[in-house]
Amino acid sequence: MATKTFDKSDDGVVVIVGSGAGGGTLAHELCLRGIDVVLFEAGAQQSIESYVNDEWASFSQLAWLDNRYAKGGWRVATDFPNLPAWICKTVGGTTTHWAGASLRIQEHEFKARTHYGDVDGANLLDWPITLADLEPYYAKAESKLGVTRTNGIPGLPGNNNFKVMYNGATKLGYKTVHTGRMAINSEPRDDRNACQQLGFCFQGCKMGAKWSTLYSEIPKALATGRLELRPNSHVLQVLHDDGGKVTGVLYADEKGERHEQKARIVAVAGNSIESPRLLLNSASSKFPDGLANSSGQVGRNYMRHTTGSVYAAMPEPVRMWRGTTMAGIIQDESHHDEKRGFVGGYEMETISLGVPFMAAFLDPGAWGPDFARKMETYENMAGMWIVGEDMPQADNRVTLHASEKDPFGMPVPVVSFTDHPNDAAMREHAYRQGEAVYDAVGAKATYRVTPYPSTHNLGTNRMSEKPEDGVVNSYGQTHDVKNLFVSDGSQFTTGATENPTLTIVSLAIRQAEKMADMMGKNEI
Amino acid sequence: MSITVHARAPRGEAPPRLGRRIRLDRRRFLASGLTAVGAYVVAFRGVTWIVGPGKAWAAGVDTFEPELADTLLKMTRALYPHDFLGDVHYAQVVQDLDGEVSGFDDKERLQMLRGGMAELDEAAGGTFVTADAGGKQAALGKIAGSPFFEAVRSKTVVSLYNQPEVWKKFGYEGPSYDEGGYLHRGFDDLSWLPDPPAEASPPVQAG
Repeated sequence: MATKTFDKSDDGVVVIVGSGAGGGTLAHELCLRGIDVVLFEAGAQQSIESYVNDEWASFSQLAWLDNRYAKGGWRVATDFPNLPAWICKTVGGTTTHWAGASLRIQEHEFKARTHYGDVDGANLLDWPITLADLEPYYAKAESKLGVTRTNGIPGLPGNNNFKVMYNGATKLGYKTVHTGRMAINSEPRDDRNACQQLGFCFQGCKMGAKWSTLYSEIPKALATGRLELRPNSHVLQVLHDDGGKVTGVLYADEKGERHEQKARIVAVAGNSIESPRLLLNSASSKFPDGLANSSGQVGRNYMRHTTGSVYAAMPEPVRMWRGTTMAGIIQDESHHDEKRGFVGGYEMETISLGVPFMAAFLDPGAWGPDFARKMETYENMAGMWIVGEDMPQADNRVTLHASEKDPFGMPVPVVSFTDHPNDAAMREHAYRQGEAVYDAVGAKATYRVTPYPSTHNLGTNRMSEKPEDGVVNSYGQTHDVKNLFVSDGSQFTTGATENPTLTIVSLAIRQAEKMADMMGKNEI
Repeated sequence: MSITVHARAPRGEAPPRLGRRIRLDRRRFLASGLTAVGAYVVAFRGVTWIVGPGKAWAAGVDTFEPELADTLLKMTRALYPHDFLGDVHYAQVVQDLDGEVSGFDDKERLQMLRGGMAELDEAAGGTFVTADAGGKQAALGKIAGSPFFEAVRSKTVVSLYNQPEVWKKFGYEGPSYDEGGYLHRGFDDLSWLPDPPAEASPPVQAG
């Protein structure tokens, strides 16, 4: 089937920038409602056939490797000064790399300011929506993604790494321990295979068992005849008219040639580094501080979840690399209880790395006999990832580099981050609990592993009730420009405890419904 | 302790449901591999060669002179010392370092490595390659963080641990797609702990 193409002067289309969880879902949902969409993706198109079961090769294939800077007090700025985030530049965005954990944000987390109070140094705010508002969309998203333990879909079978986690956790008295709510098929569903336990969830699922916009939302949207996908097309600026409405985007194609694509609406979904960068790079005489930035909040409140890993050398082989990477969770610490010495909560989820990435991430920069002995416990290692709510801070932010520009002449992004004391206290608690889980089943040694470059990037175009507090309203529509939307995790008002993708998808479904309604009424 | 080696099916053959297994005890396993000592470096007709024990293998480097190749061979092992890895795997790292400086007009990086070798020798109080194990670690400690040290360390941590033959020695089985994943190859074969109940870990679904 020949796919639809749209003229660059067609000002009736919705332009979406970014084809990941937010952009890819929004594109499909709009097409289903009869709306024409041009979907821009800076990266190249891959497929389940072209994915590779090889960590470094896959990293080269999928990761966003354009130059960026990490600054601030986090260790990533020292160890990986040009890789603040481990996210993707490819059709499907980071839904190629994500692990599939699909959890709903808890009711109290939508009201973080109310429940946590005035935490010193934190820029906390309640979301302008509640769990009740989002519940119908969570239900639709869980069905779309095929989340296990919802919609009658069985849980995934636990692998060896989960067996260690389960036994340790239950010995410690934890109650909510299972193989997770995962957007990975435990049985064939929606033209996707069942998981064959490849162990390469992070490298693009070669079974197609894990939900990704690459082979779920985007092909379905193309089949409506209303979508044009433009891969290898890097959007440089969002353009506007004298009246302050956006009119389209300026982009560079595969050859680096610049074009303008007209649009009725522009939705920005480039993840929490590129989306604010694009708005800041769209500054004009009318909007000198960047587009949609009258609040000054564009790029601010960058969140990355309070993370860390605990690996343990167990007395017998575990072979944690075998099977689904993140199908295992302990949820007993995900609630809010200030008696633990911090606000918010955290999850503990199974994780594993192959030998190449274990060498790179176990203790970045380390060398010598002690490091070598740790690596030699690899076959016996069990592992977990900590993911908890971090505090939004105004000065944790994405800014434009003062002098360095990308090949298209646009300033490159600088990501500044420093832990809030609450983040540090939570991580310390989580490390201790993680170690206790493995000690309970006889760990010979445990290793606290520093956070990896950010996989969860949130908050840099946050939602707010009042225009002065944030960038977008509860539908992701910018407060300043009525036909400009944000459709990714940069909308998050606060980070919550949960892996963010399910919420990004739910917000995109809700946004599509509202956008179509507003278009129908000629409001935008 | 015993190590289980998983023999791979040749490409093109249908993958077996369970990998064929050969059990070796650790002593035999180590003896069968290339041991830590023995590789040496020679220049032959203008090319530098790292030669394995008993001339079992030889790795040519295009640009490095013998002294630099030998220093880097010993340095990469001292950075990430694994007794069960033969010199052939460290020689691979030296080849990769050599590849970074070969074929370019810009000799800045090569000069940096040569300067670094002198720095390392000085830190070892003579020549690094002849220092004992403790002396090597002490010398590395003195130059840790220098551009030379970081250039070699950061290349080694990727290049050494990215070799499929090295993975096997760590027990890591690597790519699984061509063999049907681990669903029928031991993803849940851990037997030294009880199995979780079905509500926590449901059985594999039929079909």
